[in-house]
Amino acid sequence: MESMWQHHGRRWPRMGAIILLGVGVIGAGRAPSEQPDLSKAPQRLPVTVRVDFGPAGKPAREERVMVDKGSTPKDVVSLLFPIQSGATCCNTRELAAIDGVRADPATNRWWTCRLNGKGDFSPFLKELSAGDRVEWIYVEQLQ
Amino acid sequence: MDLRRTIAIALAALGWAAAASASDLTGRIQLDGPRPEPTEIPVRAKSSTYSVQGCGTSKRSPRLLVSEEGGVANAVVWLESAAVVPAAPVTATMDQQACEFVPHVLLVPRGSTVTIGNSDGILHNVRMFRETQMLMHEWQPPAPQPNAIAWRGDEPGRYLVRCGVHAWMSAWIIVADHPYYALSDAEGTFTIRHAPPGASTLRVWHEALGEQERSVVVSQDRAPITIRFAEQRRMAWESR
Repeated sequence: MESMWQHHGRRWPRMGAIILLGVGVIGAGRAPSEQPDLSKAPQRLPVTVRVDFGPAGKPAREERVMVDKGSTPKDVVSLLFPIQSGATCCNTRELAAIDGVRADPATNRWWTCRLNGKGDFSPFLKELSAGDRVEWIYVEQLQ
Repeated sequence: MDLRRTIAIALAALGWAAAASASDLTGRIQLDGPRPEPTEIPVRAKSSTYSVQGCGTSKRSPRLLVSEEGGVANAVVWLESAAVVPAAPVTATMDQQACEFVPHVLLVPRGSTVTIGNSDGILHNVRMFRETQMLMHEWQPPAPQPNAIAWRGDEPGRYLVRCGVHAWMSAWIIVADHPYYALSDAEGTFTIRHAPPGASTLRVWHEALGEQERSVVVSQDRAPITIRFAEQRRMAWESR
């Protein structure tokens, strides 16, 4: 009576072939995703962003940057400066500070955002288009 | 004499003794230098969505009101007492009238309920802040629709109230943790009632002038105190 080992020993070359074939199929299946697929690559958009520190007295900064499609005005300002979100105003996503310059309810100083000169949008939801101009402006309102 | 009557008489005697030893601390908040004119703020709509009907064409800023004699209104004055005695909570009202919060500064004891109303025929948006943290964000429909917002001040401190759609509108709610607080009137005068006798620290806060403190000794024959702010300090504060 043949042992189990002998039994497996005779079968081994066949099993190995099956395993190798399987690896080959999996490898072949993966191959396309390893090739650069330009149609699925993240689209990059050129936009201009300007940060005006106004009464905070720091120099303004303006840059033309490339951003991923789907980026928002909030995303793009974070490319230039560290930002801080928090419940300073309106909702928990409101921008509380850019480069350490904080919105201040007591002095009525706030960060406002304009896109192509207009302000009627959410800087946290609006998706940017190629050529957009984003301005973050620190303003002091009379009180 | 039964026990209850004895206790009642003893409590009355203690109350009389406390009242007799406590004193009203009076004083005045003074701004030195030329009297500043209140800032005139042009009334402008934030956008076409929000009305300014009934707001007028301009507003005089309530932030720094100084009498002809230099008295400063709306300064909060208090004694920092080692023995803190709680004050009884009250129900108070802050209203919005012609696009202004009335009163501009409201002083209430801890645990009080403040009802914030809107008597204007336009939409307002009440936001409340403590430091930079926003605690409240409520839309208030125009009168005569029901629009009152009730807020309870359980934590002592200063709370800034703003309207989110009318940038000039602001007010303060001061929640006091003991009774020895006062608010200066239009002439800058204040009275802290039944102040405990002895040495203490008197503190003053004004939204545009900042803070000061001074050591005082409260006694029955104490002369009124004058706390002076300098014009330079105001200018320094405004230009920061």
